[in-house]
Formats: sequence, C-alpha cells, structure tokens
Amino acid sequence: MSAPDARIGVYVCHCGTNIAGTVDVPAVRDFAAGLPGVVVARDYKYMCADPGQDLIKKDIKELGVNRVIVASCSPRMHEPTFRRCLQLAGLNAYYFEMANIREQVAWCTADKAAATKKAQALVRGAVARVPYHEPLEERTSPVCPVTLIVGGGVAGIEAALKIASSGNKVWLVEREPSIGGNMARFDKTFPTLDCAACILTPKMADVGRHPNITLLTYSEVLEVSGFIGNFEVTIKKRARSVRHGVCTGCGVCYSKCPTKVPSEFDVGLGERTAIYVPFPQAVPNVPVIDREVCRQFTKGKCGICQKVCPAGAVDYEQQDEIIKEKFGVIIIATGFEVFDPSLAPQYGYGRYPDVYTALQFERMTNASGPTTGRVVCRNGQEPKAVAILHCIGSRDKNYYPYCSRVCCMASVKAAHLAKEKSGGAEIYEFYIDMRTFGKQYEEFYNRVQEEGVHFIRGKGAEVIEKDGRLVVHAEDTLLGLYREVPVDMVVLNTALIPHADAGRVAQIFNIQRSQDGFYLEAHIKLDPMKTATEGVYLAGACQSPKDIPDSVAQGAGAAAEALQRIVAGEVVISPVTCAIDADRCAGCRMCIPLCPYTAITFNAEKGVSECNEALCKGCGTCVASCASGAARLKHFDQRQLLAQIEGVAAS
Amino acid sequence: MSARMRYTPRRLVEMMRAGMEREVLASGAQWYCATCYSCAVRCPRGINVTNVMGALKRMTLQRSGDRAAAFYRTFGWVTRTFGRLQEVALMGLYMVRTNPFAAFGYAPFGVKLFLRGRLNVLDVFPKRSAREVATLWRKAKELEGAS
Amino acid sequence: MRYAFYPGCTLHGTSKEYYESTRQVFRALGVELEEIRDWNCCGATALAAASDLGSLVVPLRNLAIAEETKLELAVACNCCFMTLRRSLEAFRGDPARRAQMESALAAVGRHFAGKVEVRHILDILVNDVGLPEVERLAGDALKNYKSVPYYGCQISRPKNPYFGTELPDQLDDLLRAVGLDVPQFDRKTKCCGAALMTSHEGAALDLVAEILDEAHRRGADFITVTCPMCQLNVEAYQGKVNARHGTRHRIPVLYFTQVLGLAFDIAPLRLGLGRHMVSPKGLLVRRQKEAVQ
Repeated sequence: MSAPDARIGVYVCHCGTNIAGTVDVPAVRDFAAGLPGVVVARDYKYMCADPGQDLIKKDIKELGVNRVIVASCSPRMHEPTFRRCLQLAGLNAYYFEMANIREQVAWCTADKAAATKKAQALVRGAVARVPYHEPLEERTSPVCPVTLIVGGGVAGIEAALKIASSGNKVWLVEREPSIGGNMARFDKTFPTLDCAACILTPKMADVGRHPNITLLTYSEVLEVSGFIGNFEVTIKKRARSVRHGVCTGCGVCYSKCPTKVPSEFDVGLGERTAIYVPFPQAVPNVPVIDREVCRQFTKGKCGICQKVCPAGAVDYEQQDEIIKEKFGVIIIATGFEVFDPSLAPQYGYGRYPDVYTALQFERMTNASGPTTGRVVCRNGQEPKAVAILHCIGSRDKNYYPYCSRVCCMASVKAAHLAKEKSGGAEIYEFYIDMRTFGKQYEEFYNRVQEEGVHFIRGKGAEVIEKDGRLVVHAEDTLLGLYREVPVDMVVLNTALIPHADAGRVAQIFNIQRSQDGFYLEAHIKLDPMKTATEGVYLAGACQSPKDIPDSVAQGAGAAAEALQRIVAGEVVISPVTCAIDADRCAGCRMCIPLCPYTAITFNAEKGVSECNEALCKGCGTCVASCASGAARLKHFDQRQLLAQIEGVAAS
Repeated sequence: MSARMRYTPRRLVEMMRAGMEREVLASGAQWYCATCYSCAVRCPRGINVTNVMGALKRMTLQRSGDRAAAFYRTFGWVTRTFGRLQEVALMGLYMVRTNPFAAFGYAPFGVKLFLRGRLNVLDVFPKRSAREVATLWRKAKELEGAS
Repeated sequence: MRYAFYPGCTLHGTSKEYYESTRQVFRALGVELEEIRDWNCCGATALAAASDLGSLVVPLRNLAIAEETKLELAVACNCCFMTLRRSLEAFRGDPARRAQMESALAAVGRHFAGKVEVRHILDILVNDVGLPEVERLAGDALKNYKSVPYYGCQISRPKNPYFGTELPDQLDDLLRAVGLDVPQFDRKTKCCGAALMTSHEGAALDLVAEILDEAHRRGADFITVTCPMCQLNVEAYQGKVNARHGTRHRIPVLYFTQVLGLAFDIAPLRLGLGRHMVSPKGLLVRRQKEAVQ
C-alpha cells in the first residue's frame, strides 16, 4: 500500500492522569483528526486495556483503518501489546506506530501548554511516517536442543544437571583439568559447616556419568558464531597426554613423577607434580601432563609415568583437538578470581610468610590440603593468635568499589575454623560491617561470637612486624581507640574479582560487562540470567559475587531460561533488520567491519555485501556508512525517518 | 599519630557530622597530624583526610592561641619576613612565644649544630623574595576570604 | 643533562651536608644543577595550617621562576618536593583554583603557564642518569656495608607518578647499585614525625624509635635518607629516643647523595660527613681499614 491509500486511525491515551494530567488530550485528538490521511481520531482512558484495544479493532473492521497510531506510553511498554492487537484484527503488526507522549512529554514537564504542543508535534510526525510502513513478517528459526555450558563450578554443574535431567543434551566445557571450580577448594561451607567436597563431589560425579552430559575438561571455547538457536562453537580440547578412555584413575603416575611445582589448586601453599590431578576427587579422575614443566616435554628425558602406567594410558604424542559443534543456547558460568593483596603492600602479603588470602586459608583448613587441615604457621608451629581482616580490596575506591558479598560470612567461618584447628589460638576479626544477610547467617555469626572470637569493629589498616610478631593496626571504633594487636598469622579476605581474561571471553560470546567488570545482565533486578545477546545466559559469580546458594539458584534459573528456548523449539526473528540492495551495492565493504554483530558478509561471487537477517539487530550503523545508499533498515528507512522528522518539526 | 589523638580522625568526622565543632577544635587532635598522607592514600572512600586535618588546623588558628598553633604562626611570620626559613629566628621566636625557658634546653643542641656549620646565625637579612612572599600571602588571604 | 635546582631553606642551613654532597655527586656524574634565582621558602606543611590558598601560592612563585629556565626543576628535600608538586597539581587540575593562583601571582608581577615538571633528585639519578652509569662510577668502598633505605613519607605521598605510595624501590636499587647490602625495610615510608618533633616531641620520638628499632633489627650500619627533616629527626634525637625508651641507638643517618659520594671515592669532608650529630667516623675508619687490608 502506498501513501495515498493510507487510512490512519489515531488513538490518544489518557493513561489515567499520567498523560491527561499534563497534556490536553482532547486537543491532541482534535489536532490529529485534521491531519492528512487520518480518518478517525479517538481518545480513551487506558488504550492498553481491552476496551481500548477493542476501539482499534472495531475501526479496522468497520472504518477500514489500515494504519494505526497510538499516542501513549513508551513503545518499550506496550508496542508488543498493540502490534498483537493489529494482528488479531487481521492487519500487519508493522502498520503500527507509537507516539510516546508519556515518558517523553507528560513525565518531563509541568508546563501544560508546551506539553500539549509537543504531543501534537509527535503525533504529526507519526502520522507523516506511518503511510510509508511496510508489511513486515517475523520469521522463525528452529532451536538446536543442545546447550553449551562454559565453566564447571557449582553454578555450571547445577545448570548442567537440571538440563540433562529434563532429557536434553548438555556439553559442559571447563578450562581446568577437573570440574568443581572454587567450591572444590573450600573446607567447610557456611552456615551449616557442611564439608564442601562432601556436598559437591556427588554432583560432580553425577555430571561425570550422566548420559546427557558431554564433559570436556582441560578445554576452552575458541570462537562462537551464529545466533540463538543456531550457535556454531569451536572448542579446543587440550591434549592431556593421557588417554581418557584407557586411564583407570589408579594414580600410580603422579605418585612417581619426579617434578614438583607449586599447586594452583592449593593457591601456592602446596605442590603438585607435572602429571597430576588437581585434587583427589577430580572429575574426570584422569590426570593431565603440564607440558611446560614436564621433563619429558622440556628436556626430552624422563618418561617415568608412561613406564609405570599399568593401563598404558600415557600418550606423549597426543595432540590438541579442535571440535566444532552446534548449540542452541549457551550458559556462561565461569566464576571468579580473588584480588591479589600484594597490590596493597601495607598488609605484608608476599613479604611476611604468614600472611594468607582467605582462599589459601581454606586450603590450610581443608583436611586434604597441604597441612592436612591443621592451622599452622610456615615454620610448623601453631599460632598463638590469628587475625582475620575484612574488605581487602573490596569497598575501596583504590581497588574495587563494590562489596564482595560473601567475605563477611567467609571471615566468620574462618574465625570458627581457626579457633578449632589451631589448638585454641586467640582469634581477632577486624570488620567494617557484618553483612550476614542470608538464611541462618546471622545465627551463625552469633554462634561464633559465643565461641570467644574477638570481633573488632574497625578495618585492619596495616600489618607490620614488631618484636618478632605480626601486628595489626586498626581503630576499634566501638571503643573509639586505636589498637595494635600482635598475632602470628593474618588471613586477608580479599575481593572477589572478575577473571583477568573476562574481557576476551566477553568478546568471544558477544556479551557486555558492567562497570565493575562482571558480565552484564539484562536487568539487574528482574532478569539477572539473561544478557543483551539472545541465547547467551549467565549463572553464578561471573555475573556478580555471590555465595553457593545463590550460585546454585542462578544455575537452575539459567537452566530454565535455556529450557524455555529448547521447549519452544523455535525463535522469532525480528524483521527490523538491514536489507542491502544488491543492485545498488558497490562492494566497497565499508559496512562489514562496522557491524557490531558481524552480520554482514561479502559475497565474492556477486561482488556485493549481504546481511544475515538472523544476526542483524537493526542498529543502523551500516546504513549510516553506506555510500551508495544500498543498505536500508527496514521499518526505519530514510523515507520513513525523513517524513517523521518533517512531521515533528513542522510548525 | 592517631594513637596519640584524643579523638581518632574517624571519630572527629563523626563529631563534625554531629555539629560538635567546639569539641573537635578543642581536642588538639589536629596538631598531631604530621601531614604524612598515609590516611589519604589508603582511605577506601577516597577522602583526603590530611586536607580535613588541615582545615581543622586553619579553623583553630583563626580562633584560639594555643601552643601548637604558635609553631605554625611563627613559621608563617618568618617566611613572610625573610622570604626563607631563617631557622634561628624560627626556633627563637617559637620559644619566646611558648616557653622561653625551653631555650635553655635547646641551647646545647643549637651549639652542636652551630659547631657543625649547620646554623645560619649570620644570614639574618631578609631576601629579596620576602616582599613578594608577603604580597602573595596577603593576596591569597584576600581571595580566600572573598570565596 | 641540565636541571634547574630548588635547594629549599634547609640545604643552605641545617642540612648543608645534603647540599654539599648533592653538588659533588651531580658534578661527578656530569649533570648540571642551576640554582634558580631568588627562590623563596616552599612553605612546607606549615603554611597550609594557616591558609589553603596561601600554601599553594607561596611555592608557586618558585615554579614561575623555574618555568623561565625552561628546564625541569630538581628538588632535593621531600617536603619541598611534595609542596611544589601540590601547588603544581592544584594549578593544573582545578580551574577555579588556577584562576585564584594566577591572580595572586599577577599581584607580584609574575606569570605561570604550568609548564614545569618537579623532579626529586633520587628519581633523576635512578631514571635519567640511570643505574648503569652510577655503577660505572662506583668503586668498592661500600661493599661490606649494610644500609636501610628510609624514604620518609612525602616523597611517595600524596600519590605521584614517580614513587609508589607504600613501598617504593628506587632507593633500594640505587644503594644496591653502589654495592650496599640492602635488607627489607618495612618502615621505609613511615613518617618520622616531622615538625611534631618541635611541638609534640614525645609523639615524634616514638615514631623515630620505631624506625631506629627496625634499622637496628635489620643490622644496618647506617640509615640512608632523602629528606633533611628525616635526617634531623632520626639522627639528632637518638639521645632523646634512648632516654625515653631505654635503647642504645647510635647509628649514623646519611643522605643518599653522601652515600653515593663515598662510593665514588669523593673525600668525606667534601660530602659534609663532618657535620653529623652521630658521627659516621666509625664507619669511615672501618672503611679505611678494609681498604688498606
């Protein structure tokens, strides 16, 4: 239908008093009635409600209205509502245009005359534009029912199990040789003091043997292309140097390996061998050779593990494997890192041997850790006093301004464990606030208070050696006095921070990061698992620091998001995309690098650029850059926009 | 130095929030600040606490005449009069203002410095810069008063 | 290499030895220091107690004079370094303040465009001259000695682009380059008490005691400093510290330029080593003995 055939219906909403309180709605209606192409103009209290929608449907049927304009709230509120209304009345949904006279007019001024004038201008713009709308059709695309989960910590494990138990297939890709994440390092978890490994390893084992889960550890995602329902992912499966199907997990190889290096799992407190599993309950229980330190690889001589392996599973010739696979949805559950306190030198980390991070302390108290669970100083002696400091690197303009959420509880737990496993040392906990917000958290804090831990309300300002002991300087604010507390061991509760390569990973998956560096959710309150990229979801601490219950909950939530897509079976693709006129395209390719969604490719045969509508988000960048005017954004093309501008600006 | 202050800096801030101006200025805590800026570089809220203490010093100087203030007043007078810090003048005047008998305690120290050539007893004339320094100071106070 | 030089009040007075040794060392390294004309007191931290703008404007005069030389301004004293930088940063960073500062300068017929860099001589020696050059000139004179590097507080705070705020390492590196054994020194930027030694002696003595205690514990033969205030407080008041704490500290406190001068085999008296309150004679005698052996 071309412009002269347009029969426009204009509906001005009162929105109760939201609009009508500032805008003279009848004046806007009457003004609209006099505009070219308008066959009917009405006003109503609540256009989005059924009676309001019925007005529109009636006019379409009885008056032959074929273009609809609703002057009301923001399209973000009700554009879908009214589009559906048109569809139900048998009209193409894209013959609709909204004029926002609430958020952009009534809600930003108290000046009634100016508001009414602006509302009229916006309506005139809409009326000028709408005759040039095209009948666009939404397409659908099938959803591949396999989910990719990146990150095998507790959030990723939970999401994997939930999806797998629904009968759908999951691939879980984990960078470390074993799943388990940071939780596998912990000793006891708050508030129940459940042993972390005891509650996690059954889930890990489930993941390892679930028929619907393909577990790839020691692997990384290299590249992602495609779109929701149809992601094409390239995964690098690093060579373990051990044949997975053949290895029995007997452990003889690492018991005989001569090379010892600091253990990453033990956060530097303990050692591991070159061929190793990171911890005894690793899933899969198949060792990995660290080729950078293994003598066989660096010097060409050793080979002990291969000799002693009873199953003949060691394979020095094994190569990295590149796997390309298709997925419908992706869940990112990559977790967190901890702040390095040597960046805050006043705490002595790295200079004094007995200053530890909380994560190191977890390894110390862990029964299968480097000290078999005893709290002892490096010289092997039990400390007579231990200090636990909150907020090292968190809530700090000099490092990370946010609160890491879990460390108050972790500190209280550490205080309890320190008391128990140090042979009765005096424990001093230095805090700014006590954020024990969760279920049974405050009760846990009360319990530890009663165990005789000294809680000092004042941030530990520095740790310095004096008279052979480590002295913590702090202001005891409840006393209003500066105090120097001599101890033998200091535990720093450091900030939970995004992984160092979070930026690179975000680029691979085409997701954004929030100001604090964690991955950005679609809505901080209502949509914490979705990202701005359809089909990519977040779970766990990679979105923001959180404890185990919240990570598990978010993992399950991400699984629900994934299943929603899988069960729906297909996705709707918005038709507001770029269309490149092949006849006009000169093949200059200027648009291709500019597209933020890599939706445009060059067809060498035809010598023109082509837009993949499934990837295109309709941002318009290519349109702005196209010198020949070949790129055109449907529903926001030049004719429509110019008409709208002329309509708004006309006096 | 907060160990020696009657009220720690944090407490002083809270007292200021509560409007306890008199108690804050009378505490003498501000004079214990050695301007080492340890607090300012570490404050997690990015507050320049050293500047806060400086402001308290200025407020106190404007009102009272206590002993610690005397040091700063003397310093200022000497630099404006001589252009440079004539140390004999500084210490001499400070002691005259606060406790003349302290001169006896400092005498041996002064003699030791003199014998090692570190005391400028002869260099007592104001430098050319003195007039400019005095003018700069006056102008600064004028602009400050206006703002 | 040429620099404009701002000595500050004490370098011609109570810290004459710092001036002497700086001159000697820079000459030996072939670096020129041109003392700026008619400089005035930087105001230290004392002026800020009386007027904020005044404390910015008084040092600014020196910056204006230095700018005319078109050279970088070398400073030896930590406090002068801090105060001049503070004035410069306020001038550059705060347009309202800048306007006031320009107005005050205009009252004495001067002008400043903000085109001066303020450099501490430690930074100049380590980064501009470079450690290899220092090593080249250094003999073995200090080989068997141990010294702790005491930076003091205002060389590294407030935050500046040259020195780390908690544990800088330029002085450590420089001392090692001349053959000294330099142990870890946790209190390297802890304040010596500065002017509080006059107004609140007891408090300042306690601060100095901490520094002396650690220096002693680390087995230092002498303490190396970069600031006249620190030198005075840490050396001249050891008797009072001992009286107050029952200790027996008697450790020389040398300016790092004196240390360099010794390494370059410059005569001790030329380095002002005769001016100390705790004489380094014992050290020098030992050094001579070892040289002979």
